[in-house]
Amino acid sequence: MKTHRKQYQTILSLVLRTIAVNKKRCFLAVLGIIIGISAVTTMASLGYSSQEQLVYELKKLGTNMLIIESGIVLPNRSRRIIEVDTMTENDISLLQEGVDGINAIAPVFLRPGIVRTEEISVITTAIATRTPFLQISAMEASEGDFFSDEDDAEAKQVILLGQTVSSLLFKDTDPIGETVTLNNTDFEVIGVIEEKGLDANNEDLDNLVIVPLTTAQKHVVLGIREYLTHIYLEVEQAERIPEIKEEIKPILRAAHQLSPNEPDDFNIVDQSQLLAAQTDILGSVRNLINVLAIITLLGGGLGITAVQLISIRERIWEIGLHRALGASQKDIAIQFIFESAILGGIGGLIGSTIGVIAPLVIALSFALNPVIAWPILMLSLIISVIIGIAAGIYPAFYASKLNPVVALRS
Amino acid sequence: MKKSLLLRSTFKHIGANSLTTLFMCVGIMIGVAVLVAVIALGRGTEARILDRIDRVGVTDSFTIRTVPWGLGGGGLRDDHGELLLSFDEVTSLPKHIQGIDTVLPTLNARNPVLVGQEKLEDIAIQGVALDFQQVRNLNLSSGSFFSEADIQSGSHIAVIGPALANNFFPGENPLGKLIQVEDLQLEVIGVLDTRGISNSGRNADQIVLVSHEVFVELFQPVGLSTVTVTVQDPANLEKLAAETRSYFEGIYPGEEIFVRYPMATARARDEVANTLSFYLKIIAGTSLLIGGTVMMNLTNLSISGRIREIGLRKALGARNKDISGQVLVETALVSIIAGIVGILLGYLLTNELATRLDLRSIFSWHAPVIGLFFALIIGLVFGVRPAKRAAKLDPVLALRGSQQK
Repeated sequence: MKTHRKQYQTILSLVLRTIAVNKKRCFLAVLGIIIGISAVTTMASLGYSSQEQLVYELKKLGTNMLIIESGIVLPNRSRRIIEVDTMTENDISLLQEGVDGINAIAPVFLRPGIVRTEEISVITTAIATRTPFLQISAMEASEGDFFSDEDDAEAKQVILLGQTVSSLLFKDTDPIGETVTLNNTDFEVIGVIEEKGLDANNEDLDNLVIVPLTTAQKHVVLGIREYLTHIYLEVEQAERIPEIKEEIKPILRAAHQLSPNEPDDFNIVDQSQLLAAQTDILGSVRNLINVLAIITLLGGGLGITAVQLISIRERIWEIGLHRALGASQKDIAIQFIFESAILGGIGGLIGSTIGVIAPLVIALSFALNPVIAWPILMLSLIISVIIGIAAGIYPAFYASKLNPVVALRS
Repeated sequence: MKKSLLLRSTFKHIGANSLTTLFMCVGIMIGVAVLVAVIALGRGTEARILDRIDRVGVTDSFTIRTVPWGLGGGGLRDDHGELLLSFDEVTSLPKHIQGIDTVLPTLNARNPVLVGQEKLEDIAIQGVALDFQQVRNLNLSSGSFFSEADIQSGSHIAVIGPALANNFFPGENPLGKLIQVEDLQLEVIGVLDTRGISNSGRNADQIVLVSHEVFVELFQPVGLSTVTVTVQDPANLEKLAAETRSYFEGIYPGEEIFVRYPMATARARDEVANTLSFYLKIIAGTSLLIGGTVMMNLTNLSISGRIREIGLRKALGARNKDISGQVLVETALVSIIAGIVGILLGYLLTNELATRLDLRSIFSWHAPVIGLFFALIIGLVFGVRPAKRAAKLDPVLALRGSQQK
């Protein structure tokens, strides 16, 4: 036991000395492993970060939005032919309790409305809702502010104008603080919504006004009563939308007391084209990351292998010398395994550390969500260490079987 | 004379030391191939993603109107005393403004639609040009879109939205059925795929599309108040929209022309494009790092394997200048040849991966040029410098072999 330990100590010190003597070769071998692991991991990790960034950017277009429309969909009728008054804010609390993965939910009462100043009147879409609606539909104020929860609770007579309405009513003058009349009730303009332009069907997205729901109900602005025409939802993950749609149905059916043979009195609409596009886009990015990982691992792996192959020739001579000086085959095998393990270990450790730190630093400095591609890190770690060790062991076994004289001659 | 000798000795040398040279070649080939493949696949994916967004968001088109959005308009009768653009002015637009792809005169009406006794009020009727389907990226769930022949013959045909199809022909095949608009009977030849509901709550599926000619027959428009224009490069959308606006304002002095485009989608597209170009830089950088390391390692090793040989040449009377000259020419030659092979290899690798994994690739001159340049620089820095140093050594020391540092 004791002799064994001593023997290992001797081999270890021999290994360390070999490394010290062959600084350049060892440095290159370790450098290959370090660059291989860290570059591949950085590339993949930032790929995942970019993917998350893409999800965030596409979300602004409404990929995570679901709209529940009130109305009976009869089999031989197109949508929303028969209006019903069953959808209420009670449904919203039921959905919040009963469905997982809802980020935000907003009651909506939507009606055509007429907004006027003393000079001009405009036909527009009037939306009575609460504050989460602005988040769900990704609206930002270009001038002024949105109304707050307090404004809503206190039924303040405040209104947000879409760009189309604002420019028709006020041309180039500042609309903030002006008074407009929506269906005979006066409102103070507190904000203008940032222009969204046209949608894919060439519909104007800026022809709308938004008022607090409580205010609309109190002043019966839109002929509004207790019921809602729509519920807007934002889900956490777009992938769960089909599932969530199925979860919503029984909750609303029960709340609306529908018997099993009655049709739904609501209809759930998602952004199917956008969702399909998002799925495609994320799939392309995922594919790209995988292919890049394959190419770079292949390139890096081949590079490390080639470096090792070159050094094998030098090593065979060295092994011959050791054998001639009386080292056993086993000694040599152990020595080389030690050496490879040390080099592979150092390279793997430094490479993984850089592979974790580099993407974190880059992601944070570019305001991306930092993600580490652990599977790719593991894969590249395993591959480079295996190549390193295999390349160390192979010449050891090869040369240890050689006749020392032959090995020395090479 | 001397140069040809140098070249000949170089070629002889490359032949003789085939193994060390081979490793250097392999290094450069791998480095360049990785760079070429990674950049081509990265750029291909970028283009594919942006195309996908353009397809769903129609970010390559803007719409001009003579009436502000929110007021009347739609290109029908001259009720509001509104300005109408003549068909000729509109269709000649691509000749006047560079970068415009197609022009779609859009004719819109809202009208009742009838099938027998059943009547739906306030349905959007659109008169469309031949390119409409392509530009608006419309998919049909059944039937077909208007052909050129259909449009020329002025046949009374229509493509309808799925909500209308469900409404009028529940459970039946709507193709070949007749719908009535005003006093014309139109044969349904296609049904659109569902497009869902717009943010403003309008149902985009309740629509009837007819050819431009049929629309003229139905409603006799005297001009256009709405025109949709597509551009070749979505990145120029905003600029071209502004140009078109001032072009028409120039034709009609004193009139105001209104322009809109899918701004929210275009903003999102810009953000996506930024994210992708950021990621492209990252992958170009990392692949350059990997490629560069592989090249550097192998060049370095193959040179240090030859220090003995340099000693031998010196012992035989070669001057330092001769040796570094030879190594310089050799390194440059090997770098370029291996670099070109690497470019081809990268090209083949990319095509193979792209077809197998359903990826798009775009080749440009950047990656090969950068790769070659890098190979040369690395060859010179890591090949020629050690050789120069070796040439300065005492021949005896160098001859003793590669073990020295």
